[in-house]
Amino acid sequence: MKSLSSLKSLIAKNLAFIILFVLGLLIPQITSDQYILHLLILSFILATLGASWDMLAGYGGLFSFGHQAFYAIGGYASAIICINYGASPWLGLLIGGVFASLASLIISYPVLKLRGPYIALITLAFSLVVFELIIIFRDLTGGPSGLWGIPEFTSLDLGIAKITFGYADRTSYYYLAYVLMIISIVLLKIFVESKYGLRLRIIKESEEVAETLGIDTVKYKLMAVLISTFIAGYIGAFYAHYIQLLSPEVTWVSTMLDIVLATMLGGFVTIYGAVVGSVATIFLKEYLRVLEQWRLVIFGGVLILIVIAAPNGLIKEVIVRVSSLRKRISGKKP
Amino acid sequence: MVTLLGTAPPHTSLYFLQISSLSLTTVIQLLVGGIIDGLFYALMGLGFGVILEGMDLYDFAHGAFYMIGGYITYYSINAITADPIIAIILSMAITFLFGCVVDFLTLRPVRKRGREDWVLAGLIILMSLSVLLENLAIIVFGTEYKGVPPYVQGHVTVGDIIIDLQRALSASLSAILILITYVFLKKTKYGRAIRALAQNKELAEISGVNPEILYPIIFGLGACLAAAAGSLLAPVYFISPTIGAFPGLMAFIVVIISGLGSTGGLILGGILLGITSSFVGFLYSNEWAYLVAFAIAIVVITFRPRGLFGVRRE
Repeated sequence: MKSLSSLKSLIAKNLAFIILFVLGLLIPQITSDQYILHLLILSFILATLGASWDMLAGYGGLFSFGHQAFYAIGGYASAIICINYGASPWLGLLIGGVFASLASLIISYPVLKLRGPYIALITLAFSLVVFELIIIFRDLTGGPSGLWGIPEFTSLDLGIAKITFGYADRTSYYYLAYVLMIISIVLLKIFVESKYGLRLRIIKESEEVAETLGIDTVKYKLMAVLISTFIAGYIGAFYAHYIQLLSPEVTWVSTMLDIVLATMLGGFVTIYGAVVGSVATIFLKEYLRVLEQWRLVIFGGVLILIVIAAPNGLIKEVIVRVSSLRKRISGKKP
Repeated sequence: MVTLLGTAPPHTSLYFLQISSLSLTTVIQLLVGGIIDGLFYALMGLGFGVILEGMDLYDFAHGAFYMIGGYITYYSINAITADPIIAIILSMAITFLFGCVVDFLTLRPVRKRGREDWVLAGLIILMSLSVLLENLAIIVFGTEYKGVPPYVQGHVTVGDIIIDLQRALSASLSAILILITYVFLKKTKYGRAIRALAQNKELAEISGVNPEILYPIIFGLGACLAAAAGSLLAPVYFISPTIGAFPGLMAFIVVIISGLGSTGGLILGGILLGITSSFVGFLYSNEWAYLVAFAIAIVVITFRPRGLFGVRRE
């Protein structure tokens, strides 16, 4: 009985998530519009990135402004190894994650030593270093003109069904992106709700208090960095094998702004928020293409307004407002 | 030999460690070029540093203000008068007002909310502002490069070393502007109030300094110094909507390297960065020069967060 009621409360707590999860599963059955599927795949990539950044920045207080660098490292590492060594793109996902985490170790020393804005600055500088390295080692990375001919995912034989990946029908890409996103989000959610996540939040509130409580601050922060960059790395690898072309522009600050915008739209310190925010960001960006250059002007303006008016995230703010309104109304009734 | 990188690269993988030989003339030429660039970096860094010190804010729109300064100069010279002095003054004045307005509209509401998330909220706001301004510039001015005729023509030759007069003039004017700002901050009533605010907000308020009047002025001052750099370099480089990205980054790098609270240190840091960049750029490539600058910044933040010559801020 106890397990049943706890299951019930778990479902009730994550109801919105479960509804979205089922909806996500059904979409390729509802529409076969390849363009919509493509946009959703891009949204899932951004959502995974956003969620991993949210864990690092929102829960861990490590305000990385170079998250896109790990995304790029994952993509380039997997692409280069698959092109030069003929490794399977499936292994590439793991390679991407591992390389991104290894790269994060290099920058971890200063990041774990410093606080607040310094972390933003140093990670931003790191992303610029990564950009220049991609330009400099052009024999390997393709340089400014981009890395072409990244192999696509090989077909997967599951015995009962054979899954092939192609542009004509993106359904399998869609489900792969979807699964990767769901795995990442569930893992991140479990991590932040666990005792490790709790300690991470204590460290964010006050490093002194955490140390007094005997929490090894370096260990927990390093754990957060490694998990977050691993996720950014493998989703970068997925992006590389999906688009089959990588350009050094992914390391630009504009990618970071997309991540921030998606997270801020959906809700900061929520993990889930990034999903809703990313779908909104990608679709708005596409459908506002008619506005040409005005699009980015509007985006910049919207982000400024969000930071001013709803610093915890737009949708989260709306939900909080609505639920407090509902409470007030139902409180008045009796 | 089995290389680490699979398919063997066309040349040895350590090609970037080879150094070409330098003659004395080249060395002096590179030093002079580095000092000139260093003064531009210092001027950009000064505005960035004033905002960082006074408002505890990293001005990621600094490059955008530089770009605005360049365009105001272009239109002033082409539409109003050919006098570059007027163009520079105009670009500083307009950008100063613009900076005040930006602070009032976007930064003040966040500041009023409390100091907790101020730095990061400010960072996101200014990054968005810079994206907004860059794209607005594309709409308004177009993407084509615009050029301004040089303020002075020709070059001087000292021995074998050639110095372009325009660059020398711009660098000297940068040095003069840095000096003026230094005197303003040290000697005038407003300057002293700004420094008091930077050192201790509560004490400054008790002594009758009103931060809500000063913050827009500080932001405007920082912005107008960036615009001044944009005006001075308008005849050296072409003007385009994205021209500010690199100078904006250099402002940030030079302030990290030199630290806050010492104008002399800022100039020295700028010149060191300029000389390093000019040598690395000559010996390897510009990409390596940027890479080295960013790497130096990372090393400095890690081991000496207050900068090489900084006297404040841990």
